[in-house]
Amino acid sequence: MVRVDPSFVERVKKLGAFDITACYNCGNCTAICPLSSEGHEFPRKLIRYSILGMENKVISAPELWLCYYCGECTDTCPRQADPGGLMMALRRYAISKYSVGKIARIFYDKVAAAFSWTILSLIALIGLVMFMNPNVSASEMEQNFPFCFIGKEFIHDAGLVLGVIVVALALVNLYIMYRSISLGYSRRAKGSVGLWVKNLVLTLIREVAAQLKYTKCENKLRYIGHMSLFWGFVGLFIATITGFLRDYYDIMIPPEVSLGLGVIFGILLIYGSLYYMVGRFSKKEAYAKYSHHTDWVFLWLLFLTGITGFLITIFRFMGYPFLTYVLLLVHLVVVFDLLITAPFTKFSHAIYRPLAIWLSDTMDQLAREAPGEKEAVAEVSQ
Amino acid sequence: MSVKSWYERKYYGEIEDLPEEEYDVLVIGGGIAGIQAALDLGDMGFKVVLVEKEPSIGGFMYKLSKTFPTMDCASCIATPRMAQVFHHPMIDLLIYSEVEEIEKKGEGDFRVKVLEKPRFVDSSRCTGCGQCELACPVIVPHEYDWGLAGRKAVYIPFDTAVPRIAVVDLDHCIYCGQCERACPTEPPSIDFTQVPKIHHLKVGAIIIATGFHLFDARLKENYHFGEYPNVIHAMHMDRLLAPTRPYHAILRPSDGKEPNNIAYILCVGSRDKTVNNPNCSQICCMYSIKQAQLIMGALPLADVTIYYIDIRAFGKAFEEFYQQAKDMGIMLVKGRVAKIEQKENGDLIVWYEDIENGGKLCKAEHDLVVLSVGLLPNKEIANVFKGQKLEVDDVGWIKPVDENANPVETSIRGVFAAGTALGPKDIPDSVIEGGAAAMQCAAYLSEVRGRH
Repeated sequence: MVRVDPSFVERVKKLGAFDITACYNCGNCTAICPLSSEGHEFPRKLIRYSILGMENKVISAPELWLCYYCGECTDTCPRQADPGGLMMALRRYAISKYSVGKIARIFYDKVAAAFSWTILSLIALIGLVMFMNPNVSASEMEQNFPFCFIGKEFIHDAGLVLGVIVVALALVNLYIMYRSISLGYSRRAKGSVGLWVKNLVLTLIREVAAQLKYTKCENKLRYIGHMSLFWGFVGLFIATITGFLRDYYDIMIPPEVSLGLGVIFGILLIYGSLYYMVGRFSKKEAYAKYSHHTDWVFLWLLFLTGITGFLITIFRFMGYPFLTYVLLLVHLVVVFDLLITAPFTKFSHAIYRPLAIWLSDTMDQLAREAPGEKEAVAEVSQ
Repeated sequence: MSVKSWYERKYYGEIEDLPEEEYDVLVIGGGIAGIQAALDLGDMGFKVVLVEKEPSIGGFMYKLSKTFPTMDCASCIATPRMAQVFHHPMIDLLIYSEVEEIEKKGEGDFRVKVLEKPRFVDSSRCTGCGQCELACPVIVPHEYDWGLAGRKAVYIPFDTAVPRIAVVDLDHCIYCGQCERACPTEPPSIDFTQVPKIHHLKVGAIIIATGFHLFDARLKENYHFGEYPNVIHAMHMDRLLAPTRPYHAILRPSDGKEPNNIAYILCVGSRDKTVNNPNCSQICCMYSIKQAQLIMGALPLADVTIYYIDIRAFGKAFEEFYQQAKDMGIMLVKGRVAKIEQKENGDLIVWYEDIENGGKLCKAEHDLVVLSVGLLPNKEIANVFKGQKLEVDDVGWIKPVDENANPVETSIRGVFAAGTALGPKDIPDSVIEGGAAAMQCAAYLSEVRGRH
């Protein structure tokens, strides 16, 4: 029994799926989709669920995260109902739903988001200023620039605390998502630990490191853009860790390594974020026709992280202490904003997507081994 | 192609201006709706002139195999009507002619310029024997069979053409003169000195029955029409099924094999905003079902699958016709085909979502795919009105003043429309509208001429 809830689609529409009720249910989108597969057909089914208001079906669908928004469905939709836009809007909706206490709703509401991000930035700024060390000797300034006013120790401590909070929140969100997705499977799949671990490793290699599903989309430039963005961010994270290890544990990693990694991956991050910003600005491709404010904020935060980090290095070596110092403050505030909101914003797709792929792959496999338990895995009739 | 460009491209001589002729009614378009309107007005005693741009009247209907849902022979119904209109004492025909300009001087007074293209055959002498056709060395695809068969550069449009007079296709003619030598009339009817003529008509009222354009299936790129030889459109299939069909068999284009697994894809170019036609074409469901039933007769061992979004069987006996198709074993699959791929042997794979069976993603193999193409408006007629605007709707169909109460009167008083010029519709509805337009026309003329 399903209770029809017409208000659901109205809520989803506000997140970007403006024309979806024009759908006349022809199935063109599912058949044209390069990522739709046996047992995981989308987007038409999700359009039906949305229009009927079957929220549980939507939230429990791993298909939301199997879609990479190539846009072929939207380009060929005879009703121009923008099925790809619906998938994107449903992901936005799901991010709110999966987040602990549904906090993410704040960031998907324009006014509340602007307010929250201002507050968060102010907290970061005030915190940094409070822990500034104004009495710096000239020799220390020489030695420790630009970390003379804001101590490295403080940044590291704050970073660790931030990291622990973010990871804890992310884990809670992932658990909520796991509960939702298991609802979609008729019986709680168990399976051996070995299978789960094997599939986790496979998912991490295939869909996180290489993102093979993304290559099925026609536009390969977008894949390259996404890979640069992803690896740029990961690389910069690694570069940060090398610095952290050197300073904290006296592990002898030459500073040149951190610097080199920082420059290479910084360029990747800047390229990736610029690629998407230009794409979203020019609105040529289906995915860029409509950009939610969360898309823009995410891109801007990534771009600012990259560009400020990059400029800090340049100014530092060129010898502009004031500019370096201001940019360092901006950089730290941006990174704080990016990380603290990560489990509640578009950033969280980085954890939801792998989890959805891992869960659906493993549960499909279990269901296939025990036939008759899961209707979603159906044979393809030729 | 506009008349002007046709003229500029093909003919470099003079245009012959003819003196003004007077008629009660001008009917534009010699399809089944125009023929019906002309016949009804002629029978009422009005002097009618019927303009047809093709070398023969008949329009679309005479090309079809059968009518739905009664399965009557289409050309057996159309041909006598064509002959009737040709021989009617009150009806004059301007064949191979196009209306260039219409100006409304006042109520019941329209001045019309009609350009008669030269046939390069003297219609007063030609007997339609076909000797020129046999002599001509040039073979080009025949429009009548949608290119499935060939014709010569001089040709009689089709067997039951009205009038049965040859026409020279100057685009392909090589001026060898063999037709002239072969012509048995004395002197030969082939006359390359013919020039275009402008007829100046003064008419009291006008009926537009200019019909439709078939959707160009090449615009749906995922179906690869024109690229994959075994993707044909439904009018090809209708010719293959007609009594006057080109090969006396149903053969697929790539290798001439008899197909035994045929797919129909509905709503190609209809209900599709990506090709700017959101409207239903109203006839494709039924003509596809009709053809599928005929295929079951012609190829008893063939499988026929129809991929549809919805089956719109809305007319009298349509639903029964649809159920009959199901009972005959025609497979109906709900799901729009998204793309077609070609295999090496010319077979085709169609991708679709099987919506009625749990929404499974499916692909199926067929050796022939028929695209049920929709109807698009014939927009040229709206441009010939000088000084006044003929209202059309968003898609381009002529918009009547009142869709419900006055469905055949256009925004220009004294100008009426009938048949598919007003929107997609089937043959009976076109005939009804032809009659309705004739009736309204007569009423209008009586009113403006004060014959109450």
